[in-house]
Amino acid sequence: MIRLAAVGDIHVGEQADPALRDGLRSAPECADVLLLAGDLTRHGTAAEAATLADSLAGTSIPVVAVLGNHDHHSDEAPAVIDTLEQSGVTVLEGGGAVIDTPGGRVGIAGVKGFGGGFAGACASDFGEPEMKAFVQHTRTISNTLARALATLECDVRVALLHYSPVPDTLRGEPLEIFPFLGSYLLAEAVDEAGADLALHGHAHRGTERGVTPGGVRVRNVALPVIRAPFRVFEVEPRRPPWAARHLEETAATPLASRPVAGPRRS
Amino acid sequence: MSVQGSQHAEPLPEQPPEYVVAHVQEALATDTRVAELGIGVSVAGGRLFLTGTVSSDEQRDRAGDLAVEVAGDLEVCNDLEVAQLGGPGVPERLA
Repeated sequence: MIRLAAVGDIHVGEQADPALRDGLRSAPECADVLLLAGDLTRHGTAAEAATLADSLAGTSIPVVAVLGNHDHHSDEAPAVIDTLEQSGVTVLEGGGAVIDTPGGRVGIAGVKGFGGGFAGACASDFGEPEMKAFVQHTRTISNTLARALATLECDVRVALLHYSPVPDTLRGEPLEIFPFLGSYLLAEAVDEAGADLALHGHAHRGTERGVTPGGVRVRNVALPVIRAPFRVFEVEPRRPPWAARHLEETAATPLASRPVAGPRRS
Repeated sequence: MSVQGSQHAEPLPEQPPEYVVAHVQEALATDTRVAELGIGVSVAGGRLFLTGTVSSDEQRDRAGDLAVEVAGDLEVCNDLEVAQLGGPGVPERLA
């Protein structure tokens, strides 16, 4: 069994919060890997990233993270990433990592994600450049996620996101803002590639548990939702293990929009 | 309306409470002192309520103070909860 500790939306400022720092430092006692689901900082500054790096210093288990919207707010995302990577954190944005643990290999593909909404009530790639850019941002990210997940050869496969792939884990947020909290394209990517677990944050007023249409468990690990320094998931290795697959993509049929069952409106 | 980095946000002239809700929400997100997108803002009985969970007492107080600055004549009721970080709880076993 592989033990994963996960939390999102820790929003570290320039001053460390001792309770959070001590909580994160306890992760090696009960987990093999620590996953951070974005909104690592409050304003996305390198100084805040340095505070987080300091809180994680000396952590004896691998730490893998994705950025969230807050981490981009000051237009210093590269500096945030650099500061964290210098301290040993693996920051994923469309890439993957396979980590050996006593219970087996865990493969993690990570992206920030973006909005757009969910099946039946979502934005379309149509209209003004700003609108198209919004939708295409999510579409590109979702394609990247699918490809990154599909190439992970491992015993347990995890998708690490900031935005949500499903509406289930948003219950508690106002319905009207669901399109700003995630996109069905992210779930489609997870289901296309296959995974054991999808983790996300972003929705502070959401709920913990959901599932993709393809049957992958989804967990909202935003700190205000779990009210703990992290959640621990003990995942049984899949048998047979996940094998790498190369997902075909054409310009006309980006990965995250191919029909899965029956006719679909584009 | 002043936003980022200002020390004293200007209260708005009297206007429908629906707009005050929107402006408080915007201020909570964009003012660098708070920078919170996940706070619920609503009006009932002429009072403005802040709901949701934040990470610290200081953050709760900053959000409340900012809401008072922006909400004008509306009484602000700060119902924000502070996440008390206990342990990670019982692990969830996924098979």
